[in-house]
Amino acid sequence: MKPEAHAFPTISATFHLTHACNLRCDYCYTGEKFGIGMTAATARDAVTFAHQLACEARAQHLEIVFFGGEPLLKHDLLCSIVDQVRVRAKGMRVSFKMSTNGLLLSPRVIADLAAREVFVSLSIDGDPATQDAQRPDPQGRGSAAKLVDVIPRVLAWNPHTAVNCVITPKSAPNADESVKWLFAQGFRYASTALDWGGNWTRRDLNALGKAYHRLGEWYVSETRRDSRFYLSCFDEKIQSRTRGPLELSERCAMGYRQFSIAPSGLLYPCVQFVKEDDQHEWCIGDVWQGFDDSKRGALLGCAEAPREECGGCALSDRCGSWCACMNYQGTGRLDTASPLVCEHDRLLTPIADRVANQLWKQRHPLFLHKHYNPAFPVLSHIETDVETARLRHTVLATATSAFADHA
Amino acid sequence: MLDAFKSNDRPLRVQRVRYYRVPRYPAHTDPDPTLAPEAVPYPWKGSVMAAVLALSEAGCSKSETEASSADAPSSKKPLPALEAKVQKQIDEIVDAALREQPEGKTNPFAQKLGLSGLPYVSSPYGTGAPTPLSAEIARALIARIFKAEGLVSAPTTFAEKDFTGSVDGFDKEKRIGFVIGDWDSLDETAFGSWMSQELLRFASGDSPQVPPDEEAQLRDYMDRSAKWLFERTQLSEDQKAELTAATKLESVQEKAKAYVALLQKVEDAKISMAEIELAEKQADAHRRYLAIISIYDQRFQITEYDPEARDRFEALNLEAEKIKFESADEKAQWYRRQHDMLWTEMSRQRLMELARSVREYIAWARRSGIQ
Repeated sequence: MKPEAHAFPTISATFHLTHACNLRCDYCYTGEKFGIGMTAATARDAVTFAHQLACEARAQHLEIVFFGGEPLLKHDLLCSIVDQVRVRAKGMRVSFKMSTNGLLLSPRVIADLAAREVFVSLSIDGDPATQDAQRPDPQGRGSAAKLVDVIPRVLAWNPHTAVNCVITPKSAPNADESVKWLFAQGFRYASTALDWGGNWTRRDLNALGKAYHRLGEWYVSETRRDSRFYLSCFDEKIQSRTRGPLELSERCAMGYRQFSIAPSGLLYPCVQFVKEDDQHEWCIGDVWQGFDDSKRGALLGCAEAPREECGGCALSDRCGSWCACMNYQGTGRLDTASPLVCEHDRLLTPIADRVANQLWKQRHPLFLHKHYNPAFPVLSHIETDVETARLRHTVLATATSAFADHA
Repeated sequence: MLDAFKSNDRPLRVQRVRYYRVPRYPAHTDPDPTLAPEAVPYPWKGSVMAAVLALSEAGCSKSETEASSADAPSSKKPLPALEAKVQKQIDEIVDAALREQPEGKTNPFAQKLGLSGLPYVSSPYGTGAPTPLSAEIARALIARIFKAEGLVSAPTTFAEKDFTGSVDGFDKEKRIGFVIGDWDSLDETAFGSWMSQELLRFASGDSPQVPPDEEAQLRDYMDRSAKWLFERTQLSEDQKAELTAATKLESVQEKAKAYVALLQKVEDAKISMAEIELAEKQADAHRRYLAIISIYDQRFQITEYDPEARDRFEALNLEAEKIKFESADEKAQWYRRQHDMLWTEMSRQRLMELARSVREYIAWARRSGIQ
């Protein structure tokens, strides 16, 4: 299967800067941690490759994502890549994102990232007890205490900073408390994800269901208080109805829209396949010779093939089983729906719909605009900027350009 | 084996959902609920609105302060706030007028056009008199247009040799303003009262001698006329004392002279017809543009003798003939409702005409040389 040329307005290239990490999270899918990182020469060639690809695809937007291991262990290389991309991709809209555990976010590093407009999302699993249990350092020591200063520092720099929270079978019963703790620290955007490769039982999912119910009540009460926030578990589910299922151009498309560049320069369809960079069955090319189109097409065809076990399901348009990587983690196959994904979505969807029904019944203006006004992300960004006095005197200029982009 | 099938231990599995109750909130295929059935405005946070207002007021307040400090502030009493629905109507009319593009070729308020209704002299008989433009509404509407055009409209009093009086709105920097011509702003030469003419006649001694048994009646008549004349005017404490003293005078001629003297003091503070004409003539030379908008301007008032109004009322009568009213009261109520609706609609049209004329005036003044 090969998508039509120019089907993707955004090309997203994830640079895996290193396999090394300063934490040893239980659920990490990136494989063994060792000190091999991307060299400057490979990085330079990877930049050339990504830029050329975006030009050939006539993409409007080139998104560079930094990943690892812990990408900030290669902070200088990261800055160098950003600078190179800005020079090479003049005239094209570029953006930079990274996911980090935050332990290396010193004031100097934040200043470097701020100067380069790199959007940072922090990986924090919740309150200190959960964080220490799930994200210890190599010596098994907790990492929560080291984040005490980091969180306010990062939010002071950028109040739009997102937080990624992984829910494991152990933390499921307190998932609601973990999320509330994160919002209490000042985060406004929280993304929750399950440990899809974890050993989940029905008991664990039942506990998670109860946590989701409590979280749903919190979502309703916070919305009624006109709080601006994004909570992926509910908002994505609600949006699966209010905006419809994601198009291929909005998904990873197994390397056509979004791909990973391993430290070695090899190309993979998703971050989940890089691991120790020896998964050659998933390798779809390299930055010097480009993509192996036949392999890439075959993977996409496999990922997009209809799943017989899902045929006729009333929730098929709203289910997360479109993600072949999540299926792979649960079943070892791209084309087979993961039981965990299915059970989770059957659990979460009614809870999210109940939340939405409550707010719809009231015709709550914030709920309506959040889910039906395409300009909402821009408008709420402006509100946050004005509230935090971040861009108080340039808010109109920001809004003007943001609206032009959004249109 | 039974243990394996305990509910919490059953293995996870993929299972189709056969039936799922459709959620009530709209899907992507339904009409946008932020637009239909009625628009839902974005719920901006209060702190954001406060910040934006503070920014905009900081931008505006500086020039307003400068405008009012150089000339004396207006001596007029501040008006009470307009009703919300009236303000809403003004906003709608102004928004509609702002969408049009004025040509700015002529001064729509020039006296030579003969449309201003000045000089105006009131009649002792009220039958058939037109409904004048509401001064309060006109001020609010024009102030809104000024603001939209980037002009300040600060009430200002002028005390110059060739121009004395209070102006309803004036931009000191751009040198453009407006006056709503009514009993408070224009003197006898522009807005004449038949009562003051009578007083003048008595004061001058031109009137025939009044028989003694009719003097009391005449004194009472003069007091009532003066009360009507002065109750619409803001008098200083000294002037109020003068008025009280005049009411106590016994002699008809002395009373008339006292009232006339007070009237002249009050009128001196108002704008005269001569001043209006001179200001218009010298606008370019002095680079000061003042639009004098009379409440009796033909374009902005509604009269039953207006041809359009006459036709509409006639149509109303014809429609009434087709309806079978159950009682005279029902008929009267129907007429009242229709009349009010028609009056509101025609008022709206007249206000729209005023808004267009003001925009035309501003465009003309800009072509003539203001910033």
